[in-house]
Amino acid sequence: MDGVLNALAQRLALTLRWRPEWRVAAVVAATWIALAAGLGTHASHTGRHHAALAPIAGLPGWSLMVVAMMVPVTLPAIRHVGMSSMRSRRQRAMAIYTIVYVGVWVLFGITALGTEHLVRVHLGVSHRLLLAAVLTVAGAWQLTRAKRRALFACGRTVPLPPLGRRADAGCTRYAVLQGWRCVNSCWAIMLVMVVVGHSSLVWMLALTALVVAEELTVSGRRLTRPAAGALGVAAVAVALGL
Amino acid sequence: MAVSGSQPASSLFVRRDIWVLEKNEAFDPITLAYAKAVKVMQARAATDPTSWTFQGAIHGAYAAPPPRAGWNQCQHQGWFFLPWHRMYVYYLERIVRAAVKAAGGPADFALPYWNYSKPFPANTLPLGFRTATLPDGTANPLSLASPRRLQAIMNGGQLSATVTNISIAMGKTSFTTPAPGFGGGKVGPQHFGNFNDSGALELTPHNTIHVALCGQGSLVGQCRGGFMIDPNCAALDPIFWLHHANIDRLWNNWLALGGTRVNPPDSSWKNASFAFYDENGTKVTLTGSQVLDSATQLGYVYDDVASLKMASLPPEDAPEPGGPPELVAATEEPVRLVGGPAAVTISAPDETQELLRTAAAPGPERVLVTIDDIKADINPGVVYAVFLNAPGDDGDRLKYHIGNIALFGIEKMNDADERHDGAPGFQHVFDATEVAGRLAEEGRWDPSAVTVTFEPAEVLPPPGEEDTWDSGESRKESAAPPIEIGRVSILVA
Repeated sequence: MDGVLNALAQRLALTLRWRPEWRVAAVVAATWIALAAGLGTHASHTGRHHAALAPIAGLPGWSLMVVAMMVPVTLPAIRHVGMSSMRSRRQRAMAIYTIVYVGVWVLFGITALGTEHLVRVHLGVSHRLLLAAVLTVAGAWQLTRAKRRALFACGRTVPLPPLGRRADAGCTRYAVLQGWRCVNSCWAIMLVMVVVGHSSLVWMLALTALVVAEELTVSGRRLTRPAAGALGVAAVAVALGL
Repeated sequence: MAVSGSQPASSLFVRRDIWVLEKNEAFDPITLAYAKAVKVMQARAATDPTSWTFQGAIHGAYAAPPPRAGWNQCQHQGWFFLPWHRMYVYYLERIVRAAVKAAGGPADFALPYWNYSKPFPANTLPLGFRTATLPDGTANPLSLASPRRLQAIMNGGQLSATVTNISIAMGKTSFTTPAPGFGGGKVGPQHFGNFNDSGALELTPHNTIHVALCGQGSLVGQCRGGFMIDPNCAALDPIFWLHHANIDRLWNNWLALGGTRVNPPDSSWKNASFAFYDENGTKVTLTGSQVLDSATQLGYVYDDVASLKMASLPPEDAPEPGGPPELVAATEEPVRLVGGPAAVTISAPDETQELLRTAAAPGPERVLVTIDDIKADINPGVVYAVFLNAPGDDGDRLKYHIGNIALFGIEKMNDADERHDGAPGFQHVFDATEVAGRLAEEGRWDPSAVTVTFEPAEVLPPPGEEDTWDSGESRKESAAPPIEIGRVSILVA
């Protein structure tokens, strides 16, 4: 029995050595559990009474949602950073990359949450109408060449110097490049989540499945058009109050 | 020419060495039959699946494909490279054979192969492909003038030994992993992906021959420049098919070496299906499992098959997979290649010097050199040979040759509308274990100073004509379009 367990442990250890990004993947999994447990839910989306600082109050939840939804699509890039770094600084390099990448999405979130607050609270646009509008935009964006180009540019990298501050700077540059690319690809879908809010696990799961399939699978290219149709149907359904 | 054997097929077509066929004349019966068949196929409408244009477009094309035509299908930079091209050449050969028979030519016609890795004259373009006219005085469709091919090649220049070097690929003992394997990495069906997943045979001599036959500045798009250098035009050059017959032969030869050299057992590799057209213009499909044995499944052999069987090693189990390669040293600054030689010296930090030193000693560890973050707007038409701690001009530099950079397909990879699968980063991976071991034996392996040299491969004059040969080229006077290399790394696996 011990021999079997030892063999399994060795096999697991070897697998994890080939997957240096596994710690980040574990953080993503933990984030999903936290969100399912209701962590990070804030009043702005449970009630409909918005204070002036409501967008800022939504940032922790938004950040959790970004980790859950947008970090999975960059796991291959995190692996690239890990495998391209000296062992002594591998964890540091992957941490820098992940933090900066999430930071790009947080900056997007500040802008998007603020805009949503402005449109919904100050301009008085109903939640239903706003959701139908962003679903329409998300569906339309799926059909654009810009979306396609952003989706297919995921293999691009920047040089990662091996040591010192130059190595940290290289990881930062790469994270900004990939973060910006991912924002280009997924901003419209994440706008839907801005309106829906991170308390809706069903929306989160469905849209995460879509972006992960689009970004990481061979058949993902073929999903952009059907997804556009599905988002359009959802927009109509929301607008009609179905 | 068909031979009988113990295989199920009643007769086998034999693909022969073009330089044996053309030993005494440019137009032996097979080469002449091929030329006439190409002419017939070129005269067919582009929408006819048996036409030269249509067949070329299955590999790649600039023109918009007819509905469901199945153009732009060539599989590169992964483990489908070899089976897909075997299928492709097989059906083209059937179409050509039908045209040959219709014209009264040899009924047992089989495509020849060009074994450019043999010494002169085999390392020069076969005579029938650089003679302007056929024996009857009409234009020879096998002969393409500059810029379709490099003039120095058309003038009988020799390919560099680095370009035709098959020892690196044939030395591989596994098809896929550890990278770089012989046949390519495990990827999904893809037109082009990343260099990372290219097999050793695809990198050299496949890619290098494609680039070396055209030369610098020949990629101008829309098939107005060099044919072989551009995946969208390559199969329009009749030499393409002899080149790929040779690559196909090398696959057979590699398997025949035995030991751990076996095809992937994976069902995803064996069951992948690809579509082509037969000699009747009928759409047909083949899977990987249907082309594993060219003799018993497809009915052809190469003329060197008997000699290879004698060299087989007994089957062995593949070694247990180890851990991932560890980065031990890398350059801090990018490298720019613009047509001339370049060199970088890499210094391993104190923390990894011992690891790099011991990796060069006999043992299970491997030394890898990777060329990372490759960027080039277009293929410069230059094959850069990569050497490790190469000595000066004296001595056998090939002993320090670890691979080549020939960016066949870079324009496909640059296309933002193309799907690029595989790991991030456009990278070449070279296994330098043997060269590092040799350097250690010579006392020239210093982890604090490892020099990686990039040298453009030149077309050489025929022997004895060094002073009189006219290459027909003036390209050395201008710089080549640049290749940017983000980092050169050394890893130990």
